[in-house]
Amino acid sequence: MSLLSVKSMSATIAGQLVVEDVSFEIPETGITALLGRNGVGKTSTLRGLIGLIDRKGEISFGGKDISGMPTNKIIQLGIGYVPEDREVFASLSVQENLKLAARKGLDSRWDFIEKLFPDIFGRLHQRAGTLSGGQQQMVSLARALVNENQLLLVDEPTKGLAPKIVQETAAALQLAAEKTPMLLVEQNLTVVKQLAEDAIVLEGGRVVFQGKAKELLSDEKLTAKYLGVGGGDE
Amino acid sequence: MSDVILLLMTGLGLGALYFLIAGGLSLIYGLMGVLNFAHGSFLTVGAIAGWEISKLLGGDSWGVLLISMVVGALVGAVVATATELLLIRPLYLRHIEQALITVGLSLASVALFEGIWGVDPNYVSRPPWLIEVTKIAGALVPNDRFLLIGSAVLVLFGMLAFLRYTRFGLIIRAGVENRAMVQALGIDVRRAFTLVFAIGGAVAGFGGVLASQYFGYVSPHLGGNLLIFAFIVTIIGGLGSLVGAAIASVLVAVLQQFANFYLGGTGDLVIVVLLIVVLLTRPTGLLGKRAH
Amino acid sequence: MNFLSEIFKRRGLIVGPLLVAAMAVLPLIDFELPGIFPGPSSNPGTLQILALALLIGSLALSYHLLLGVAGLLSFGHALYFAIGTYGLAILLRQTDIALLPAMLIVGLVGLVVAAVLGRISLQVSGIAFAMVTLAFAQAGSVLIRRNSEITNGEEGLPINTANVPDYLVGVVNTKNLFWLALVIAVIAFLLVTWFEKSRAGHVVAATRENELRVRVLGIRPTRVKILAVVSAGVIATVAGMVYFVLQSTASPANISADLTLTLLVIVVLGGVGSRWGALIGGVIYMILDQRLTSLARAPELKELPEFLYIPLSEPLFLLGSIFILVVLFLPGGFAGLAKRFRTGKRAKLKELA
Ligand SMILES: Nc1ncnc2c1ncn2[C@@H]1O[C@H](COP(=O)(O)OP(=O)(O)OP(=O)(O)O)[C@@H](O)[C@H]1O
Ligand SMILES: [Mg+2]
Repeated sequence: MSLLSVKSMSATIAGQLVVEDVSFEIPETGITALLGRNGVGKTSTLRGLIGLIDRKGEISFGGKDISGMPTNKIIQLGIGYVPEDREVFASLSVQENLKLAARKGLDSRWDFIEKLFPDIFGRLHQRAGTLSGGQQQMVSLARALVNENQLLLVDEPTKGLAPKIVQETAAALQLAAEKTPMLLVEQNLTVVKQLAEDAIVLEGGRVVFQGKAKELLSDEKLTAKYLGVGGGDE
Repeated sequence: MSDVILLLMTGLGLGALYFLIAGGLSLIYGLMGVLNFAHGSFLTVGAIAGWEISKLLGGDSWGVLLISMVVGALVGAVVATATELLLIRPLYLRHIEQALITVGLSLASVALFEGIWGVDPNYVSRPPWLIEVTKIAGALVPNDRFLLIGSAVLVLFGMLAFLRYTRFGLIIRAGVENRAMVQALGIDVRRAFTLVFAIGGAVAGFGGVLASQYFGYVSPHLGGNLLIFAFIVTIIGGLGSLVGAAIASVLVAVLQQFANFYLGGTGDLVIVVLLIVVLLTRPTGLLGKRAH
Repeated sequence: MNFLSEIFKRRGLIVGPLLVAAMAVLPLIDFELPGIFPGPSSNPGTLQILALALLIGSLALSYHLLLGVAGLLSFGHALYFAIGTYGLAILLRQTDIALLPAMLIVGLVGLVVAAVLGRISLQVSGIAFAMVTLAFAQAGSVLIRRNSEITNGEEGLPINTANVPDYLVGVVNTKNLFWLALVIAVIAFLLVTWFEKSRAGHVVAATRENELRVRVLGIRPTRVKILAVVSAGVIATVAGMVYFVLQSTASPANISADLTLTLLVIVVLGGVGSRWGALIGGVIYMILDQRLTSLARAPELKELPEFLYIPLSEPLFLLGSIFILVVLFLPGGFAGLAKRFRTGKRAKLKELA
């Protein structure tokens, strides 16, 4: 049985259809990459899943129908969401950002945060808006990881980061995914290759590929066709 | 010199009243995107409740005033909470309709107040000390100014402490910045909506009792008259910012007093011009989009 | 089938003139509408109410031009109405100019003020636009209250009839004012219709949907919006002038925020985007307003228990409550309801912009 199953989901923003008819399943372990060209609706798919935008269709999570639930209820079922562009609360301190996210308090999680994100651990009282882009990304990730989740939804975590930070982020994701399955939107195919077992490709608001990530990335024709790039290495 | 001090103290007193409406107004807008036209009615209903209870208890002691303040705040909070739950919540995130609803509520409630309590002012009794004056550097300052200023400062720090040190405060501050993300962290932001309405209503109701002490009467239009200035204050201070609202309240009220005295009664006009200048040069106000 | 729908589409062309003709003969016949008219339709009291209603209907139409057509939420539209009432009142009192040229001058003032203030306020949009317009109206209100040597302050400025032609003065001539109001309502309606159907109307309607797209097409939406603001301002000024002659006083209530809010309520009740809704909404509101005040004095009503009598005798309470219910349960207003009724099926509720 799959953890998350989506059947013909469509989603709208301000009345405009941005996801047409998406169906896929996510296995109970490992990282599944959600791929596709810019503007194809990856972010909207994630936002639709957790009800941040209007959506229709059958969405079940851990056997529960979540297609009519409000966002906060869905998240409380055990989903960690890392949005595109971080969306940290700029006027709050790092600690406050984490405190807000921690559903069961932070006390038992300090070791974990220190181990995974030493950089932000040293800046708990700094205002998140004054952090660098990479540090903000760490806060955004940490916000999702301070809870015991059943599933992580992570949207372009390496966007705009320096190569070294990209690798750090990838390592953190890998560590997190050992415990919790993840649906990962990622443009950097090196990272995808490194992390993902499964892959889903969107095109024109629909799923055009679902299978093993290796299969997709080792086939140059497929990658060129779906992702508009040649080969896996950049 | 004594003129200046008297004008300053009067301005600060009036600024205190503006803040007691504008603070809640600003938080509500910042968090929910709702421009609440019914906020003046929250103040009026608090003032009326305080006046009724003081009539019931009789006398002009401090105890009675204190009780009427508490009652005013409670009634304001209850009315505001009911408003949020019954009228605002069903239109979740449809900001224009929500603002329209509050327009309807403000028209209807003022008309209802007029129907029940009449259009004429009803005079309130005050502790004798409040009517006396205190001499400061040659200026004879009416004592009610001190009550207003002191109360508003307490309310401001109380609200700031609440925002800073409680989990609900944290949720509100985060929500002002990014409501959807709060929801996406698994938090029911709508409970915070109800809460800011309750707080805004309580503060306005409390402000109503103070306003009736300052003006000496309650009338159905008490809140509506102050609301226009509170709107101006909120915009100048930056929608969503409590500190901005406090600064702008003082700025607007003091400027108004000085312009009225030195520039031939042009206080209101000067304020309007100030608003227009701020809107055209800095549309987000002095401190836009921060809850503290 | 096609023929029928064609008639439906063009029903305005048939119903409109019929309605105007029917209204126009009212002063000449003794048409009675018990409970709604205070007397037969030739009665000056009835005509007075109907004329006021038509003027508020025209004012609501002008507000519709702002909100329903251009998508501009104004909290200060009453300013232009007051320019009409006070402008004419002051000219008639302070100068020897005859009524017609005086009205021309005031109309021109309304136009210039609308153009200048429109230019400034359209620098911002949304709630900020609403607040700037509120501030302008508030400034006007302050000017009226403070300069009581000219405006007579809170009391209101009564009309000086020396330069008003005889056929517009006195109770017996109310019918002439009624006809004048009818003409204004018709002109306002045609003007608004023309604006909506014209290229300018399409541009503002398009900017309401997507400002960027219009910019890309190379059209300057601001200019067209100013045109909407100016047209609305002039209609409001003209309505204000006749309203003033009819009421014989210009009063500070003419510029109150409550008046603008009432217009907003009327337009939303009528159904945002609906000309007929705005016009008819304004007319019905004014009739209710006038009649409820006198109905409230009716002895039958006084015998009702207090908790019913008090709310029922306050027109604004009723209006506000109905408004709340409509916003909650009837998106699209009464025009939307009528449409659903006509088309016979429950069309999907359209959300307000
Ligand atoms: N707020 C919005 N209003 C209107 N259209 C939007 C909005 N947000 C997104 N869209 C449209 O929805 C479509 C899907 O956008 P989405 O952000 O989901 O794409 P994406 O696959 O995540 O793209 P990227 O790889 O660039 O992040 C795009 O065509 C976009 O223009
Ligand atoms: Mg995206």
